[in-house]
Amino acid sequence: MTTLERKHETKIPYIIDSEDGPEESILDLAELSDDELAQYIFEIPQAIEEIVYRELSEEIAAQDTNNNN
Amino acid sequence: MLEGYKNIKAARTAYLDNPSDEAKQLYIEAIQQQFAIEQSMYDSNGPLRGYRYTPSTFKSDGILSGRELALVNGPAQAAAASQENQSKPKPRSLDAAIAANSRLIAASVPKISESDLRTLNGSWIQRDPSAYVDRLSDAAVKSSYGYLNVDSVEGAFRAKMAIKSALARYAAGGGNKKARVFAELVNKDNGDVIRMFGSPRSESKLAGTMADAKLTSDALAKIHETTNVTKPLQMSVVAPGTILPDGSTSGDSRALGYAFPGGGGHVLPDRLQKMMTNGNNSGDEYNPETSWHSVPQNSYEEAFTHTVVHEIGHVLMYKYWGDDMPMRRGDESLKRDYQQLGIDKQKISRYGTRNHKEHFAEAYARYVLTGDATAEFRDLLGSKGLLKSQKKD
Repeated sequence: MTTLERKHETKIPYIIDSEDGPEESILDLAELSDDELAQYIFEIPQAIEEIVYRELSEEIAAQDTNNNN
Repeated sequence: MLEGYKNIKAARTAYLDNPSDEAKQLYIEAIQQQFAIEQSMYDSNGPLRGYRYTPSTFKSDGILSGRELALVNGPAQAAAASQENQSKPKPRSLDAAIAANSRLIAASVPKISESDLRTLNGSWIQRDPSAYVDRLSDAAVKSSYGYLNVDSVEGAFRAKMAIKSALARYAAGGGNKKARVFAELVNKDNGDVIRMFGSPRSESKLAGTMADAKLTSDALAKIHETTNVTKPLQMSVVAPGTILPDGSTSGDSRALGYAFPGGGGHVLPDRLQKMMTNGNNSGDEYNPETSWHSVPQNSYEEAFTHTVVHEIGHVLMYKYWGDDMPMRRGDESLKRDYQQLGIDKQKISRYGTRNHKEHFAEAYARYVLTGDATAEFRDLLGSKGLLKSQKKD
């Protein structure tokens, strides 16, 4: 089965400053649902790249299914 | 409606008793009147109430010829077919679907008045929300071309499909039913951006007030006044109830601000308010060994301002020591400079002892807000052209 390799970063490191002190966290776009991912399209540049990647991957998967049937 | 059927029956009986052209015409008129009654009932109730127009049709009963039957049934059936088509949503093109969601999002964005914009420090305008979608479209097409052939029709189509889906999900608000809409304010002089986040489903449209926007613009102005930042800065004022990147919720979480490469700085006014109300401010006289922060915070305004400048400190690391990208965010490069200049051994605040990133943000905030900095820290800023003296006229 053909798979598409990502050309963008999905792990977005954050620095969070809280009352208790700093924390560092990583938001992994690859682990977000489509709905969750869509909420970041105007904030995280890589979010739309991930959405395009998922769109293209679905198309490739569909083509593979058709070719195998 | 029953009266209509009684009239039809009476006219039919009259014709069968005494067939004539006149009697047949009365029979036809009774049928047509029944159709008119049914049409008016549809017009009164309408498709909005789920009422569908399905007129009675009259089959040949040995009185009307096939042609006469068609003439009687035809207009009613044509009216029903027309109403059926009107009630069905018309298929839209991909571009129209994208435009529709774009308009929906734009309609959710609060409009900030000219008079409110004039209260900000600097020359600020509100960017048209359609510009957000245009930027997104450009990014999606570029990304799609990266996988497919450059300028391919397939590439552009796939990008549009992705945008259509993303915008529809965004407009619907996602899993937590809160769309992260924002008003984007741009400084015409230096390209700085302030995003005021809100939710169309919340009681207040915007996260913060114009007072918070003013504090943000004041802090950005102070940064440009004291340091030579030439790259546009972005600061977001986050809405209460927003899900933060670590999964916590603004307001419940104790986060006061955050930053990430490519996304600028963020400040959470609702948490800052709670912190000051709870008396958890750090208003003691400054001591780099014992003070929590590098600048005393005796009021909400001081806490807000310090948080903005601190977060911009993180943003400067991303932009000047890295490429503002997740994998090239500059922290290793900054660490090397810290070690070379010996700053890693300097005290700035208790908050800044965690690591060089926090030390930088704290030291930068102190420098911008008080003018106080060690010679080594000034050399560090100077190595990236960030000193005010390095500003080119």
